[in-house]
Amino acid sequence: MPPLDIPLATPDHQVWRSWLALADALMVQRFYLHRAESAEILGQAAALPDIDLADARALVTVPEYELIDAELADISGLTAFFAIPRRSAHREALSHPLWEAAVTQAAKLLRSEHLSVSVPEMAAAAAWWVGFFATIRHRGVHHRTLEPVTSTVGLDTLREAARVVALGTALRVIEASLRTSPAVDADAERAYCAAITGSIKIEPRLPALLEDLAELRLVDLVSLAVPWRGRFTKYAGGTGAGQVE
Amino acid sequence: MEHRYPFIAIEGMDGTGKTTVRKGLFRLWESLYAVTPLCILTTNFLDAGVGGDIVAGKYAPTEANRDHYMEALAADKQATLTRMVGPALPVRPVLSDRWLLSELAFFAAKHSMRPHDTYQRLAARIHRPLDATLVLDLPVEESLARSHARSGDATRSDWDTLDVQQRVRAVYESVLAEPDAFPLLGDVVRIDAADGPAAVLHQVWTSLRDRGLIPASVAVIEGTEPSC
Repeated sequence: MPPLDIPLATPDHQVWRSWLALADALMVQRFYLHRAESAEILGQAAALPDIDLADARALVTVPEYELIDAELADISGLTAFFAIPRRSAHREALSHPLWEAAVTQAAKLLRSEHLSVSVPEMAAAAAWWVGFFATIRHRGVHHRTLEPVTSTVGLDTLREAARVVALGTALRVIEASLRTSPAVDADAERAYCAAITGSIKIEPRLPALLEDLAELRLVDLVSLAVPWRGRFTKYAGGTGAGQVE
Repeated sequence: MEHRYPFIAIEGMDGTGKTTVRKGLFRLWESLYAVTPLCILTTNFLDAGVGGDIVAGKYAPTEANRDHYMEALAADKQATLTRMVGPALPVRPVLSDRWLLSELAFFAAKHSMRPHDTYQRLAARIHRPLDATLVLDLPVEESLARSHARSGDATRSDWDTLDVQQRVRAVYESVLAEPDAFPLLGDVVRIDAADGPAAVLHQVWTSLRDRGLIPASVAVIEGTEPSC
């Protein structure tokens, strides 16, 4: 067989990358739209009506961590994803109830010291975003009906959501690391394979998890975090997203 | 050199992780190499006229329908190659969940045909070779245990048995021993499927890269050129 001269494609022309950039930007928009509302809710009462948690301020705390490499964050499209929690987090001495789940997920993939990424930062950001949208969940709408959400959500469901978001974050950061490595990085490749197969493994669970989360903003955050068959359903159908905003 | 993407088949007994490898390769190509592969099956029913012979020959094989099934498979595969694979390869890789090796194994297990004989009959009608056949390999007992443990998949009482699967694996071994006798299979690569899914995917990735069937470097996004 003659050897192949495999064409080198241009990632910038992939439409799903544009969809992902739009999805990332929608999270930023939602933060700025609702940060005052979240602060108001947390200022009025310690507990939330739909989540069994004694002090909901814990959902938007962030532990101290080292900054992720700025270039990696930029290439992975996650600069705002990491920056907003650092700027906005409550500094209460409260333990984030979702952080451990997220850090366990990220640590599974990023065991190598050669990967210049910060596991705690990834986990903290993932947990924070799930937590932030959880604080306003009871004022949101159901992701399919667009009617007000009336269900409760368990902490275990939110922890699972944080794991998914952490997995997706790690996948994007490792991919960025592979793009900037001048030579084959076997550690990063193995981590990338672990992240990909991790996303394949969780895919069957995602539809049920999204139904448990129920509320539109939480559903969007989690459903857009990892590659799966439903990731860009709205965008691929021409609907786009963010129309309720 | 041919300026195109590769045509790759993923083979192996049930439970060896073919679907996970295919999905993983799909995501690798789409994310790191910036191109969406076309995924196909070993039979795609693109020649509707032979659909009945395919279903009968596969699920109720008899001596009477054996030759019709063989002809139907060849017709379906050539239709797939003509309508799907050929047009796709200039612009995307094609990943097939089984292709030819599985047919050699089926006719050996169900009709006691020698792989070489089955191959010669199919090769008379199929005009495009694979670039690689990845054979996910596991001890038969382990692959059976894995396939029986899966939820949502129907196991077939006439196929998912130790005796049949041992005959299937024997065909894989015979082809791996003399791959040059089966040029339509391309490079026949044994992949150790005993490791976890991530390690198997990495094995597949490096095997394809070593054979020039995946680019040596990832696709670069503008402004992110690797530092030297």
